[in-house]
Amino acid sequence: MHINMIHINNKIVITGCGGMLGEAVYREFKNISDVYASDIDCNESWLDFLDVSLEQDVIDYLEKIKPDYIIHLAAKTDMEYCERNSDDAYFTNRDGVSYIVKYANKYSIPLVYISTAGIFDGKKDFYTENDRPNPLSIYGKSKYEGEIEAGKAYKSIIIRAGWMMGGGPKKDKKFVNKIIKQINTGAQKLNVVNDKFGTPCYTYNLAKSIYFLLNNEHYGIYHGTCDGDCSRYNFAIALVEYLGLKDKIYIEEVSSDFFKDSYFAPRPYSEKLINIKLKKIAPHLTKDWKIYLKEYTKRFNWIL
Amino acid sequence: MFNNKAREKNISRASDKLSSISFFCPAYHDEKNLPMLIPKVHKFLSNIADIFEIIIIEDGSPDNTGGVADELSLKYSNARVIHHKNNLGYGATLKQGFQESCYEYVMYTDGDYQYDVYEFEPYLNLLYDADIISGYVDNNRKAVSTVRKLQSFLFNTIICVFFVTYVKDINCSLKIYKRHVLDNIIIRSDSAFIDAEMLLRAKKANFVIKYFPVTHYQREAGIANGSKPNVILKTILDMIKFRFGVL
Repeated sequence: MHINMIHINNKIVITGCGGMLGEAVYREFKNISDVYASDIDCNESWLDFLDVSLEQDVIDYLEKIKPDYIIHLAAKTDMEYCERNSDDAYFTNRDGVSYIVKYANKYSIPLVYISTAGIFDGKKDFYTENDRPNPLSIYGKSKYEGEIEAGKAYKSIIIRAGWMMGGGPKKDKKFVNKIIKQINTGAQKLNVVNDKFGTPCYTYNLAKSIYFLLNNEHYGIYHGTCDGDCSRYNFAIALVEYLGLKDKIYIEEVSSDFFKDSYFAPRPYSEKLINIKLKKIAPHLTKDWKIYLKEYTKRFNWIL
Repeated sequence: MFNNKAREKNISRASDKLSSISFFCPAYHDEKNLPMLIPKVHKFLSNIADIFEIIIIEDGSPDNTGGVADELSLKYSNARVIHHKNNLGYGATLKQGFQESCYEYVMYTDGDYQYDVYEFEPYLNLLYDADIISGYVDNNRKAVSTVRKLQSFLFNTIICVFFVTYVKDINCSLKIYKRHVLDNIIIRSDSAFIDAEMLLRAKKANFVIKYFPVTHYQREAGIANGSKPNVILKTILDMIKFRFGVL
């Protein structure tokens, strides 16, 4: 009989749990263990305040709780903010990880760190777990340095995520909600770039992968995206179709230059990830991004 | 404490169709019951909701329940099956059902087809101002043996006395939870205490529970596990743990 490693009495600290991935991870773990969730934005009653860039605060918080597992989601993820505030990006995305690792190694507990496809330079068509990172942006660089820090933990699971979708109208800060917000304000024509490629990543699915890897003690580096890949344009076309607005919304293909003033951080041409390692040990865990996108659009009331 | 928040979040109105609903049922020794239950559920959900999913959680059943469930999931595109390699028990299976359900409303009943989901229909308007709606059967009209009736009566009475509260026919497995309830309460129990735990936690968080009368039909096939000694023991243990705040 399969024995669950993660027990109901285990304490799990989840940092950065107020964000879009945090919502899914909290939901995944809250009924199976004792969850201590924190964020710098306490937007839920179940969140504690914790700024992971402050070493003493991190130590005090962890020493008080004495967790059995840590899922470290906290990061500065706004790429433009990171370009403008590089110190701050490194304080959180690199140094924050090192404080957590120090604690994890002191008690030899497992740590999950979420990384990104943005650590690659995008020159290859797609990236496997073994490809060499070469980040272009401050965000990518700081997350890659965070990955190196996380790798110093005795028991670390590093999962690289792709284009994130999840959280619904309230928490989704990424592409899906950006598009829907435009539609909700009356836009009938949307400009979407056709020269950036990537692999979508469904937060609820990634949360399940985190549980699987942690519960089965599969330490190492993984890619946690859905199957398949697309351009932003392909993704928007599918999104509008699933929202039932194919005939009402026109999507204009534009190049990235169109948005270069507001999205000035360098973004790789390809952020396509394939998750060979996860697929090998748990083929049931991931499906094609279109299946999840369809589910995601139906999951929430987007008021269109 | 969640009450006002809950009200605000409750944007869906029950008079129209429900925005989206997840249905799940634990299935164990139900190879003959599922082919009667699932088509009916499918039809019912198509009538009451725009978007729905059906999840059958096959709890390591030694008969062909798993195979039958797989066939049904092929027939109905919005149905899927979760298989347990081993029998994890009713509580753990129910818990997984809640975990897997993703839509705005979450409905469940047992795979043994002792309840008719159509009995929800006249009472869906209770969802206007309730966060949870739960069926209840008059104890003397339950389609079970006298011993089971007594067990059920005792369980209810003990819960009410032990927790100084009032909950009706706790283990009646015909309930709908709103999503925000599930997001705001934690579920710890893996035993048959889970129903009670969820209702008690929901009450404590000021969520509103409304009850409606339902019929309990005779089991046509399969076997019941509810009165096995170890099932009862686990339930009692969880109840005591919960009472003393250690669950």
